[in-house]
Amino acid sequence: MKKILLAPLDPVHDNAVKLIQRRLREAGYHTECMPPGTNEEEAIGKALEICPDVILVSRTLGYQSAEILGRFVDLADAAGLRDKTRLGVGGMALTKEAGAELGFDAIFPGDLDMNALLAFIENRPASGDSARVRVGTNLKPDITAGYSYKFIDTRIEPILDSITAQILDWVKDKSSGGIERAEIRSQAIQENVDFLQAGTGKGKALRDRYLALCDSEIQAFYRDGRLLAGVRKVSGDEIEVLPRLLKADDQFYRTLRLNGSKPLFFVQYGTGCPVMDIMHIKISEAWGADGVLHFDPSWGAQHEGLMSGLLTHEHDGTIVTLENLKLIKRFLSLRTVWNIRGHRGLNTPETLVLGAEAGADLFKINIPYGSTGGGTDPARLTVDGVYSIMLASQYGIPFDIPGNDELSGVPPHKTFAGLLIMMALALKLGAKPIPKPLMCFSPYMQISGEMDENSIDMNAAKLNIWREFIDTPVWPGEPVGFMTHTPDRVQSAVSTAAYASLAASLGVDAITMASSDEAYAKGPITAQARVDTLRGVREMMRFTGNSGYTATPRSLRIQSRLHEDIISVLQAVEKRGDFVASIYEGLLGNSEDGLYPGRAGRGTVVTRQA
Amino acid sequence: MKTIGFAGTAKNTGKTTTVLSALKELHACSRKIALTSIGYDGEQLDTVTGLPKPRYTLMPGDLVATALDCVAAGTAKLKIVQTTQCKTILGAVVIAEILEEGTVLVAGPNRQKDLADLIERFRTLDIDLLLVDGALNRLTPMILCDGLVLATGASFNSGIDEVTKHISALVSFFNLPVEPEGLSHPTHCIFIYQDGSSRSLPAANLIDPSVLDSTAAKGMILRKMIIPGVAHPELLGRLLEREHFDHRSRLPVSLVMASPLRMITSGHIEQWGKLLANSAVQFTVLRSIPLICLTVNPFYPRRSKHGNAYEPAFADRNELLQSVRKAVRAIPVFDLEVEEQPNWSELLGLREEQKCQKILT
Amino acid sequence: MGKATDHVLDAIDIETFLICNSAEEGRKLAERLLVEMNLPRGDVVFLEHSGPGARVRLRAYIHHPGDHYLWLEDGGK
Repeated sequence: MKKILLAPLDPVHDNAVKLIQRRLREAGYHTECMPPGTNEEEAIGKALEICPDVILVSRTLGYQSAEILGRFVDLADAAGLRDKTRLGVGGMALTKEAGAELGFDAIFPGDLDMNALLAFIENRPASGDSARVRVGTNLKPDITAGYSYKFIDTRIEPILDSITAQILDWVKDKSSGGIERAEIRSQAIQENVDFLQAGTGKGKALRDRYLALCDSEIQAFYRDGRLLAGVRKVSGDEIEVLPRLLKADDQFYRTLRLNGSKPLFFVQYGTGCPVMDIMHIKISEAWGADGVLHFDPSWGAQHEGLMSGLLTHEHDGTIVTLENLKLIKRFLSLRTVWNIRGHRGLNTPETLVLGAEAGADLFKINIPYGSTGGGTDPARLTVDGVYSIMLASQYGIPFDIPGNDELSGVPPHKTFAGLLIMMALALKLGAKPIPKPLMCFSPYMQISGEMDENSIDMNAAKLNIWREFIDTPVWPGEPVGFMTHTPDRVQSAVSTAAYASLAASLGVDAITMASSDEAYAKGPITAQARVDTLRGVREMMRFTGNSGYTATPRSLRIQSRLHEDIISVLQAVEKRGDFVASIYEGLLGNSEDGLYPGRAGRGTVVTRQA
Repeated sequence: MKTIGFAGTAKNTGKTTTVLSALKELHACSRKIALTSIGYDGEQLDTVTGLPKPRYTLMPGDLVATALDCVAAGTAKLKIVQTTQCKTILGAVVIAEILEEGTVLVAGPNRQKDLADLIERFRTLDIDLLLVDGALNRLTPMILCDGLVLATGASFNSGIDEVTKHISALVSFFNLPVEPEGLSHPTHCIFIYQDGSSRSLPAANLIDPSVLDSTAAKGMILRKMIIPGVAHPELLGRLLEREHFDHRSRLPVSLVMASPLRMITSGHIEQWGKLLANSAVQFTVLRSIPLICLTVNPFYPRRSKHGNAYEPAFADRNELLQSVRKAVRAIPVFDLEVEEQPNWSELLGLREEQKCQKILT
Repeated sequence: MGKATDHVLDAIDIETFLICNSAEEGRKLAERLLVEMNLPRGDVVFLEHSGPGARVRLRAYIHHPGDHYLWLEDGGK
């Protein structure tokens, strides 16, 4: 058992030392702790007596305290201790350079980082979240693990069974260009056909079949090398340099959680450029993100067909190509959970094919949400969505169901009814769904006055209600605190942190969080804005820890009303007997709620040849 | 190869400026130079005060031993020639050759053991001179050097009297006579009595007061005490008080310490001063290091009245120089800002025939 | 090491408090400040006027996504 001597050289500040002592004892180390204000001789004297493996001293670094630390190191060397004992120092204002100047073997600046401390004591390189990392097992947590997906409210089971039966019956003889392209892509991947190189033979035949199903811009891209406006190729030089720039992979990861292994924290990326995305991902990982979500440009959802190659473009969202995804994957930490969305566009099935090939851990599919507003025609997305859920099931990759239609003013009970239909559909097809209720300053609830007194009751009800229906993981999104953020970074970060804290204390499995640039529309998200909210959430996790919020009577009343309203919506959809028609007719959100059926791909559903 | 250490009594006493002065002359003489540091040096701004610092510039052919993270940090073009086993916060220490002139960041071995290994490596590399830059007030590893240059000044204490008193006390350690050859370096503290008997303490260091409890005086007249490790002067004083001295013959007790540098690492100079002034004891050291010269620097960082930043401040330049010179007559003292630069080749004892042509002409 | 601005991953944010009488005046001052700091293409991300002045956050992008990133030159050194 390793022996550690703790010596607070600061006259008063020994709280961190006491905390470290407790943590080290819990971790099974023999520790000796000296009183605060211990001087260098006393510390070395004690060390000569007990021969520790490591001495940890604490002292805030200032002009004259540097000499005290220098003297301590000098004395340790002169007394012959440094042959066997390694020296670490913790305190504010410490840098690696100052540590080198002082002669220490390690420094621990700022907040306590037990992973780094234990790595130093064990004389190994610092690694990630040791609680989750076990040798020989997958480093990535499975959000759906441990959930039975059994219905708890048995009233909804037959209703959902009836609705989903109708959907599956309706789609069974239908197909679309989106589905056919997904099948061609899948075949091209299996046969190693690169559409950019396929000029002759079998490859060309496959590509021609593919291009026949694409929009003219995509055809021009493959046939004439013409790029869409604002799109350019990523240069090889940029990619060559990246590995050198990012050599220290997991070294700096520190979990945002104070305790436990839930929730996982996700951030969204999609700057337009995969190289910039990689930098943002690495920064987010270093500051504690557990997962990342790939966002593609909105036009990607409205064009039939996807491009190929390493491509960047100058507006929000990073183009989905197999090469872009593979490049990003190459730089992801082994523990980072990777979600690729395909929930709303004309390329949903194909995006899943490429995502699975690139190594995605999660997908995002939601038929009702994706077929509203600027999205896809409900009939088309129902056909493509069911096919995509089947793909997710075959790949064994879970998918989440974002409830962001609430943003336009749809009442939560309608959005949640849609989420439940998706859940039931997924379970019938053998997939693993994760509902993603929106934690936000809900426009509908503002109008109804439910959020006048606080932001907790309503949002707590929206999270707690899931486990009244079904034994499922819950992942509030997307991002939490939606509609609360302003361009003020402090306000924005505080809001994200507060919502994250509420969600974490209510036992959710994952959280999607924004950067503090969430409400800034005139430019891309900056790295510092990512750090802002990760820092804020860490602080709030520390503050709340394993304590938290409990539902108030008011929250429980909201929850109970929400429950009954959701069932009413489901009953109405069941009664209508036509899921697609229910969307067109606004049962899951109508024009009064600010919702209109999507138009992209209208009239493109085809009947499959028997 | 000669190894010269450059140490300071505190941060910002002008250690780097002193090394730069030596480098300038040695470069002019086309000496083959290697540079390392037991701390971290060559940064643009001080790591603690944030004030600007002088930077190291090396020439093609020079060698530097520095941590891997520092290799690309300066403007000099480097080629790594050896990677050592020594690990630091900033990565493994490597030996690199300067290919193109430029600034370097130096963070070398910080333990005595690692510096010893490095010196051995340099011996095989055809070097005239290895310059070892110190760190803060740290001195211990410098015992391995063939000579020491000490920098002091207002950064140690803004009062000139205090600086003078401290440096003259410090210099007196380097004047302690060295034990004649033949006395081996023991692993424990040894007491030798008038009757020829001896006993040893269970430790090499006299730093833990429990030593006093575990060892009672023997009741015989003490003649000699050998302390191979570190000793705290106060503890040493208390230990001596319990022993019997030969008051009649007035023969002093001989106290054999490891080295002046080991003495200084523990306790305060004033506490040592009292012991050194005690006529009943006579100090010798097992190993010493020649003090080549002193440099003084009137600069000190003063806490700014506004906020937490530091601002540059200065003690009276001339007064400081004269005061230290008066107190330390046997050792050359320089203020590198005003004085003619020291003749480093001569001070460092480099051979006459290698004397610099460029300077003579 | 090169120029410090080459190492800016994407944007420089400047936060300050400007003494002014109104949000409009604050905005004008903020825009002028960007010019004075040699950041002519900068933007006022956030401005809130209250009491004696305005809390502002200014931003100038050094590297837009898809630009040639100077921090990638020389292997990011």
